[in-house]
Amino acid sequence: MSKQEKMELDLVIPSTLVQSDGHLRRSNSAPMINGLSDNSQVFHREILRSRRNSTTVVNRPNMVPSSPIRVPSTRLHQIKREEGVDVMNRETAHEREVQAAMQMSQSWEESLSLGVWPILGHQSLKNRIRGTAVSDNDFEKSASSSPKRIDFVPVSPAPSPTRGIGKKQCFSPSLQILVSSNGLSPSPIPSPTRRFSRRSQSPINCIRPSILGPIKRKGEMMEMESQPKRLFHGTTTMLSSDLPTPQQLTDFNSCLCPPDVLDGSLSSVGSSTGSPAKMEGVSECPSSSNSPFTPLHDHSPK
Amino acid sequence: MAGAGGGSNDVQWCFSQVKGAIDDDVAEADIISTVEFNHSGELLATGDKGGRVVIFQQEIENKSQPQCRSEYNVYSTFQSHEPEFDYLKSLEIEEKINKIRWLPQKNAAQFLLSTNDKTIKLWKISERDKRPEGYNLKEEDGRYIDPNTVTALRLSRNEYCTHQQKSEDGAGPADKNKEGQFDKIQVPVFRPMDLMVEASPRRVFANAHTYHINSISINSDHETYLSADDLRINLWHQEITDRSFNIVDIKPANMEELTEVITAAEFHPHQCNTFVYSSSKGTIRLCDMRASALCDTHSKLFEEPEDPSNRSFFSEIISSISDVKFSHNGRYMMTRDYLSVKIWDLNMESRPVETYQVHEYLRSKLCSLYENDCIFDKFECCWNGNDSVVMTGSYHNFFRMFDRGQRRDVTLEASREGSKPQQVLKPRKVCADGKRKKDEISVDSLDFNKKILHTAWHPQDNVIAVATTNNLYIFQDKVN
Repeated sequence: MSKQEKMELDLVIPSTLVQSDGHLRRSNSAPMINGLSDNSQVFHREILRSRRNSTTVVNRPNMVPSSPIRVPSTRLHQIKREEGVDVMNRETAHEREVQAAMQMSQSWEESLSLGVWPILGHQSLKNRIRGTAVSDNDFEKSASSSPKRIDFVPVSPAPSPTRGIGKKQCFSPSLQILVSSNGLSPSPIPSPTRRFSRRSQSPINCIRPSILGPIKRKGEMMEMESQPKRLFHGTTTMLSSDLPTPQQLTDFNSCLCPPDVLDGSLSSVGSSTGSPAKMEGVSECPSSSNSPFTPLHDHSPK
Repeated sequence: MAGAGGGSNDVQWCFSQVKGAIDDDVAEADIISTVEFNHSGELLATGDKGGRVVIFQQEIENKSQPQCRSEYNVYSTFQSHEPEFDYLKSLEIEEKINKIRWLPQKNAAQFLLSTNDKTIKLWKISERDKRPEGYNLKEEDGRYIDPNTVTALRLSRNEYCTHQQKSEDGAGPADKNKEGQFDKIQVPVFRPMDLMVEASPRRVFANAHTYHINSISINSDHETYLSADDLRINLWHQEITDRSFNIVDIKPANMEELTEVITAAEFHPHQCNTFVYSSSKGTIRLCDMRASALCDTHSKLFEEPEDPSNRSFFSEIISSISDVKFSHNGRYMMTRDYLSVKIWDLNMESRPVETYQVHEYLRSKLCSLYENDCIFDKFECCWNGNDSVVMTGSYHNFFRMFDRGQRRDVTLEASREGSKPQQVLKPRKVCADGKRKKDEISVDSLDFNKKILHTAWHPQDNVIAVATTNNLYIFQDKVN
């Protein structure tokens, strides 16, 4: 697949013109972009809008299409659009990398010709440079060919194994709340050290209660009406008024920590080192090495 | 009970339960995106736009009240997918659960596959009702006892001791030796505890789809499954996450030539080599994996020639198939396009054997439905347990059932007004012309924001789950 895309890049003359309104525009339109307007002859003018049902949000403010004619917003046309824009993106990125590499090779050339690196006096640095570039000419060659070898960011980043979602999520049907894996309700004190910063704009950082689930409703046959006839051995103090909100859930390690480690370590560590380190005691429990994520290799279906 | 009253007119459907918020202000994350019963019907899973999965369990039938059948209560809930970001394309990857499919049960735990646009996950749902208790690994001040001082392992049958219960004079079981150090470790015993349902991700199948995954389907060989996106279908092994086979690829060399996308795919329920996929042009292709490794060439092509009198500008859009489902017996398949449900005999490719109009009164409104994007809604469809009745959703929270044997159909509504316990659902009717009878609804007063896209039918009983935007309705037939 990448071969084909490279061929497409070669065919298109990569010169762009910036219009007066600030939109990037090709000097000669690639066929695929022209093709989009074939189906749009009957439509009245309307700004292109992304489909309500579309499953990705195209979030590029500078990618307002040049044509104001409305295109049918089916998945088919969306893919065609995205593929077309991708070519432009890749092209821009390619140019940037070529320029950066040329600058790099220029600066290296200067430093090598001036004999800078003996001045650095760093033996390991010298050895490293010697190892990679036999001569100045060779280094230039490798620099000019390096843009092709730059690795792209993988398409979908593998989820970080430190995220809470990788761990077990335990739910108690009788209590209708999420619980920690050792059976106790999660501690009502949230730990600031265990929050995971999120890149996306979604406000959640851990599970929010689903509206279908454990929320009391008036006038509806509630799941909690029939009391479960199951033994309950949890500590009642945890269950009293401070039922934690889901935002206060922390991830507890599963199955390897004995239940009273939680209480014991919290109090002992907390007393000596202060509150932020409270959860550190829990995390010291050997994390399950049976990580659910097997090593992921990037591969394309072809 | 099961299948005896398959006819939609013999069966009286009545309200059983509704799950979800009452208020009209719908949070985006609460929109239900998929509903699926497991193979026994005991569990009902829903996925929503916020990436969560909620599983309901049917409680054991209450013998004292034979009138009301058992109810579904929340059994487990977990966060299946999280929003991600594709840095290469600057696109957000939604966490919305597109499909959930249950694996056949092999042991005490339950397994399901859930997928968003890019990643499929295998979840294990298991129960835990015991926990180990009786550790005495710590001294009074909370420090762990020194393992070097341990000299013996004590097994206690009926009781467990913590360090507080030690008797100082050594009369009872004592863990401390003469120097006051703990030297006996207690073997913990399992005690019953409140039932806890654990959900853990066992496999993550990622990085195999460039486009959006719209379907997953588990093979009858119980080992493999397929995932389909807009242009490709991949075959996975349930145990192997780092590779998959691409079996269908309709991406043309020149994207300009792209004319259709894959909209749904499913494995045959009994033949592990056969699967079908539907397209946005209204065609269904049946492929046999024994024929070749790449199934780009179909074995059968199901396409109904277009009725020239009905041709309009929107013909191609409304012919796009949004769902395809095999019947349980494997002889038929059902497809749902925007206005109709079609049942195909797998042996006849030229035309469907049955066609049911879901909401033909919308045909004259296609222009305005295009304006508000409703023409792109993807309705699903389902069979009942013995393949005699099919069901699909419509607008205004209506859903339709078609009895194949009796050639009858009924329109029912999922609404809060009809939500009294055991209340029998009244058939609804939409009148297309101006002469509106009593209790009918005219087409112009239909609420197109209230749509039922996802429905599911219990594999054996007459119990159905119908998802409105953010509520889940459960209806059953009237038990007399």
